[in-house]
Amino acid sequence: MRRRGVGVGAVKDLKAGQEKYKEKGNLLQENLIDELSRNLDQFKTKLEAFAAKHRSAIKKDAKFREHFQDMCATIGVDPLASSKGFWSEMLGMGSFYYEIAVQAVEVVLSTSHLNGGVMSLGELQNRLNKSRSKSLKQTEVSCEDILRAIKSLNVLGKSCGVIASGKSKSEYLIFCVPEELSLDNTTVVQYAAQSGSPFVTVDSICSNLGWTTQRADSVIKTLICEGIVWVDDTSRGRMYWFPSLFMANKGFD
Amino acid sequence: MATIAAVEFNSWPAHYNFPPFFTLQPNRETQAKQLSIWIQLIKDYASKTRLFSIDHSHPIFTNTEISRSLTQEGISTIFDEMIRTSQGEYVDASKKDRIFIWWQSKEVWAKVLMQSAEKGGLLNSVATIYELLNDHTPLEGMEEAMLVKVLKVLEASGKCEVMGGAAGGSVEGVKFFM
Repeated sequence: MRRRGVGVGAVKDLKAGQEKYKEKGNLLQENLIDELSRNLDQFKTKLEAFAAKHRSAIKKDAKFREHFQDMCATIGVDPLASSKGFWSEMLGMGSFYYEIAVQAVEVVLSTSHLNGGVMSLGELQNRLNKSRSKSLKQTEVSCEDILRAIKSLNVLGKSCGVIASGKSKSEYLIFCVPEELSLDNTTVVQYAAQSGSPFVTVDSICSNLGWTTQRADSVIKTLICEGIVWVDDTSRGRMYWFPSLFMANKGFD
Repeated sequence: MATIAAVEFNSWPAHYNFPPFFTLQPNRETQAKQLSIWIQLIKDYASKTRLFSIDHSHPIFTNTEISRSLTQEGISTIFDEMIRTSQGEYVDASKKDRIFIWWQSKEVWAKVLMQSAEKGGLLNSVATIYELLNDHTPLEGMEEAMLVKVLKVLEASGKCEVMGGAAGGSVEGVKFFM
């Protein structure tokens, strides 16, 4: 009967065995990593091939772009947002959203003498696509594209942004103002947009938001100063109209 | 817009249906934009319908569809701005209730008149005011006092001589030079 190993020799044996296991373990791990990185490589190649193959569809078709964006988001890449790396080379559109953001701000600012720098998403989309269509290279953008682009401007501070209001995305309001919109101002614009009527009165603000006349007056004063509302004196008192809401889809000259 | 009868005019700006357009805006920048849209509208309307002067009671200042009328103060401000920018001139500066509309400048009218005089063989001969404002002339329908202002432009550059009109009397005729 063999004695169980005791003494120096046995300890050595045990150690050697453990080394062996470790070695084997490392080998397995390496294999796994190899496999994984091979998979990833393969995946990347496939994604690249997919992107290359559907490049024009991604650029041209807003719906397709949205799905592609969603698919990439689930694995944690945002190929359209970065301006560097193989994605921008692959698609030639790394600065896609950057470009839209700049154009959107330009459109809103160019009409700010009419609406104080507040515009419905629907009107913005119309105007943006109209000006983009003049350049053959540029493709139609969707409301989602614009929202994504505007959100990327958050890093620049609070003077550009989105006020979610209304039932559909096209009723959202986009603003680009010299001073950032205060919370009270935003609340009134949002209330007006949600009320479904393009004007407010001091009374309607007070009764719907539970504010004092003074608070409502002060917001109205700022909105007039910024050119966001126009004053309408009627026999029933003063109304304050939002050109951005009134003209949501018609468009002033 | 059904307010203005017997006139075909379809170039209403989008703002014409925007109720605050009929209230003079307190914000200076907004008001400047508002005035420029009003003035463009008045000039477009005048040139399309050959309207040469306008006063406070003109129906263009009322939009019955949205039940809004521009206030007297608003109309006066528009008139003042048109005069300041040489797009209008008081008919009677002491009353200020009515202005001539220069939908094209006096200088352009002077050129048009000169061309028509050349074409009509009126050079070096005397023409009556009545003749110049006759049907089918380019200045057809223009008010006499306005025509005299145009003639003064030509006279100042030596292209014609106005006869009569001294001491507030009426202008009788004009002689065009080559």
